[in-house]
Amino acid sequence: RIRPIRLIGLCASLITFLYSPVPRIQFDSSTAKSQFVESLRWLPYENINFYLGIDGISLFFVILTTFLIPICISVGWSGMRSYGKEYITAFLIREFLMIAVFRMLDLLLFYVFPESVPIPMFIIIGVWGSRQRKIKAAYQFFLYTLLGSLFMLLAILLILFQTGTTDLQISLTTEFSERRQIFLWIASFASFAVKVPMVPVHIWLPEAHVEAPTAGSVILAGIPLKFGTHGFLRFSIPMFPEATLCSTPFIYTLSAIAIIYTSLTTSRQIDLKKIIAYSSVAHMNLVTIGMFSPNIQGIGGSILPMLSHGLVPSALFLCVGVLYDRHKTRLVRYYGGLVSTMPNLSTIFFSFTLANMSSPGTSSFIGEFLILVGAFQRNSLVATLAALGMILGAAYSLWLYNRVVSGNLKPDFLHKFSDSNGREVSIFIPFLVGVVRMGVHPKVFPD
Amino acid sequence: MGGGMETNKNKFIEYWGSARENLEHNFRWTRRNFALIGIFGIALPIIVYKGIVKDFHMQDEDAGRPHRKFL
Repeated sequence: RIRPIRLIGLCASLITFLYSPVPRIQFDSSTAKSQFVESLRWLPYENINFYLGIDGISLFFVILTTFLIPICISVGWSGMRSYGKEYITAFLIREFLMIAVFRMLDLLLFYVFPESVPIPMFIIIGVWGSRQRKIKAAYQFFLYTLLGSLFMLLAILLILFQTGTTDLQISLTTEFSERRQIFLWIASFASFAVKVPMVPVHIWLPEAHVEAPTAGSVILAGIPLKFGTHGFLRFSIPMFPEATLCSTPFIYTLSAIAIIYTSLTTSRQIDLKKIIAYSSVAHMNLVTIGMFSPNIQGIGGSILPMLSHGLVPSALFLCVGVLYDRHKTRLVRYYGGLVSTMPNLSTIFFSFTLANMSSPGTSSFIGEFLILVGAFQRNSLVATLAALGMILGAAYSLWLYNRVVSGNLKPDFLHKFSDSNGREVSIFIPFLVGVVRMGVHPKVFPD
Repeated sequence: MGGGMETNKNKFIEYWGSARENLEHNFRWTRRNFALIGIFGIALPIIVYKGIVKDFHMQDEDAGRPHRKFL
């Protein structure tokens, strides 16, 4: 009974993915207006509509979402023997909510959809997580996100009170007083900072990643981590420009501290998934530095790492998932010398390690380079600290690779090996194609 | 996936891994921890913040405009 359910779920997600380039083909890049707009009256007495549309920024995130969901369903193919129907349902509902997050053009939806996404994730971690600790991780993830967003809801209600509508386009043209801007900015910052995640509200991420199943980690790294930076880009920065300028040193400080501290923390980790999770925190905080540098290099450059980050850590989590499926441990100490027994996986792992280091030719390089250029034009100290973070990123990435793949095998711990099979390699290929494509020809994304 | 490839777990490594994972359970407010949190959690961020603000103010001085106000 499970097999047809899995097939239906996979086919539904594949059809969605195959349809997702259609808006890209029909997209008119000569206009900055939202396209493919859908509007439904939702709460007519309060002038709140269910208002969705796509623009040049959200277009690629929608495609990324539809790309990752079939992969998550394929990855969890064998794990779906228990509660398979629920697994498929959770991921498909998640797909709907995540696409809606990137398409929303109404302020209240800015609260509703991002806060709805953790609900299926809570179930995914709580049901299909690997250890007893999953319960704590699921609650931590959910409560951190929810508590931060309550302040955002207050901000939205205040905007509704002032403007009489929650239409994003109208709110963007409304002038708020400087004091009100600062208050609204701080309220929305509480929500987005948790989602980025910024230090010190980042603790939920490593816990959630470690305890989630492989598919849960893939999708968590791929899409929900973009909600915070997407929120800054769509909501805080354009709507509260004076407050944004006032708070730039604060954001720069938090982000620079986050990059360096989490990079150093990453090098101390012993759990493979935690290493990748902490490196995600560093990368996303580099994106916030770019976003708060109000120049074309900073903001345009910050979009590329967001897209790249949807591919690279997801692929790294898949590599860890391949190892965990076989050996049932994520502790680095047990692994070593895998290049001799798992050459395919070692090659794939090396490719994504290079991408995680932002090597030239990979998807992260151009974006991070542009972010540093933009940040340097704005503030040389923060650019220096961010560049230091990149060096630390290269250090921990290479060290991780060396510990796991190079060196001697550890026959005391691992005695039997099986390299990646055809199904696993075929899952990695689209990620490789995406990373190389973005690295070699990134022009299409900023354009 | 075929079985039989599970790790031969070492109890000392597992204990070490568990201790590293549950650092917060063994955290105590000792003088050393106070100092570390004071330096890396409070002093260093303040120094970085002041350095960033100073950089902005130096730009304002070079451009001949009054210092910008921040949070």
